[in-house]
Formats: sequence, structure tokens, C-alpha cells
Amino acid sequence: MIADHPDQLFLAQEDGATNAIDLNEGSMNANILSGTLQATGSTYRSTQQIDSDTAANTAALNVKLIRPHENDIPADDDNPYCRWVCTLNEHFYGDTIAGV
Amino acid sequence: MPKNMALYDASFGFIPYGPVLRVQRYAVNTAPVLNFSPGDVVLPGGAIVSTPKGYLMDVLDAVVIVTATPALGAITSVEDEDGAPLQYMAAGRVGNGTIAGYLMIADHPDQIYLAQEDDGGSVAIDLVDGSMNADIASATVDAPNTETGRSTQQIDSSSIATTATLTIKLIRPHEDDIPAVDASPYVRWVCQINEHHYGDTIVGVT
Repeated sequence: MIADHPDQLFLAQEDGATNAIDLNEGSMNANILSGTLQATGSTYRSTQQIDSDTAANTAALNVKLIRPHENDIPADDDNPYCRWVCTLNEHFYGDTIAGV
Repeated sequence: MPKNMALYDASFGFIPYGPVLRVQRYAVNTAPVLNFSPGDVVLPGGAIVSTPKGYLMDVLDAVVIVTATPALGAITSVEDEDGAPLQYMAAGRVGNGTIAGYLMIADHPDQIYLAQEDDGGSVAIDLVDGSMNADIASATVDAPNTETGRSTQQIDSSSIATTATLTIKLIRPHEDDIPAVDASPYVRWVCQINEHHYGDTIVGVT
């Protein structure tokens, strides 16, 4: 079952490598980082994260950042695993998207 | 009794029409150049700001909305730095020295709005132009109606075109208004944002 609405908001953790996402990058786009074959360990939860290093204003990135989770302190390179509210920027059901 | 509001120049900005799909809180940095009032369509600022209500995205507070720039949505209410309601936020408001206050913004990219067309030089939007795109006309520094506190933004009638980079897309006239009459050109139009920050494959903001 997939939450597939193109305007759905999501919460995801940034990977914090090499640095945390800066405050002035908080309205940028970013890519998604996936583990090899999505190995999930004992919880079977996804290990996908926001790839902090990819934050840029480039249109062709997967997600758009909206704001940090209200309980997390962003832009701290010593604690760089901030959760971000985000939406998919490149969505299959979006506008003027190629078929597959 | 329906009232043809095309007869009256009574702008009110852009108000959600029909269901409100989503409203989120945003921050205004201290001492903004612009005024902010309910009904104003605003642009994203590009930074996260630490506020008493958590880390929030700011809005662009220096320039009014311009063509070919993705918009964030329309303001539904305005709060001061403590979260108390304001009629509108005046330009230059200092607040707590970091933020001037908060804006609640209807920011869903599919949100439908109602807005008045300006007189476009006393020429109303034609019926054959009623599915076109248009830009938003703003007063200098988004000055509101200081009596009501409402936005004075309008649909810029003379910007009507098929151009993809215009800010809004017209859907239909309000059911009570008679469109395309040059002598009474203040028709309210149902419309939505054509260039939206949360649209698809839109550049990020710095």
C-alpha cells in the first residue's frame, strides 16, 4: 500500500553525511539515499533517508524540504539526524511527467 | 439575493474558495519591507528560522510577488510574535527582534481561490480569455486596506495570456458576477496558483 498522492507530506530523517542541512538550505530540494537492496535489520523499517549533501535548488531532485520536525534542532553538525517535513518534488502523478 | 460584484471595486486579495486543503504556519523575519495581510499571495523566503513556535520556513519579505516566480500560497490569518492575532502585519514591525510574527498560509498547490480582477485600464477580462493565466497586481509594499486589514492584491487583467510562467490560472467567474463588461470590470474569478513552490519539479529556494 503506497501513499501516492503527489501533494502528500512526509517525515524523514536526514543522513547527516557529511554535514547537517543548514538553515539557509531548509527550503531547498534534495535526493533520497537508499541502502543496498533496502536491508532493514531487525525492525524491517525502511532505511531511506534524505541525502543531506544533495540539498540544492536544482529542480530535478526527489524531495522538497518544508521545515524541521518541531522537536528537532536542525543545522547541528554534531547531531545531524534532523527529521524534516518534506514533499515529493518529482512525482509520477505530478504535472507534465513522462509515462513509464 | 445574488449581487453582481463586478460593479464594485472592492478588492479582498485571494481567499480560499471551497474546501481549504491545507494551512501551515510560516515566519516573517523582523522588520519586513512588506506589509502582510489576509489574502496576500506570498513567496517563499528560502531559510529556516528559529521561533518560539519551533523552526519554521520564512517568507520573502522584501519584494512583492512577481511573474515567473513560484508562489507559496495565500495568507489566511496573521499573528504577532507571541501568536496573538493581528488585523495585518505592518511593514517594519520588529516583533521580538528575530521574527515580526507568523503567517498561516493556505499552501496546498491545488487550493482554489477567489480574487477580484483589476480594471486593467477599464477593460474587463473577455470570455475567451477565461481559461488563461494571469499575474497578480500588488500595491507598493503590499499595502493593505488599513480599515479592513484585508489584502488589496488583485488579478492583473491586462496580463492575461496563455504563457505558462504566469502566477495564476483562471477557472471561472464567480456565479453572481457578470464577466466581460468593460463598464463593470471588477469580476471575482475562481482561480488557482499556476506556479506553486510545492508544485512538481520546481527549483528549491535559497
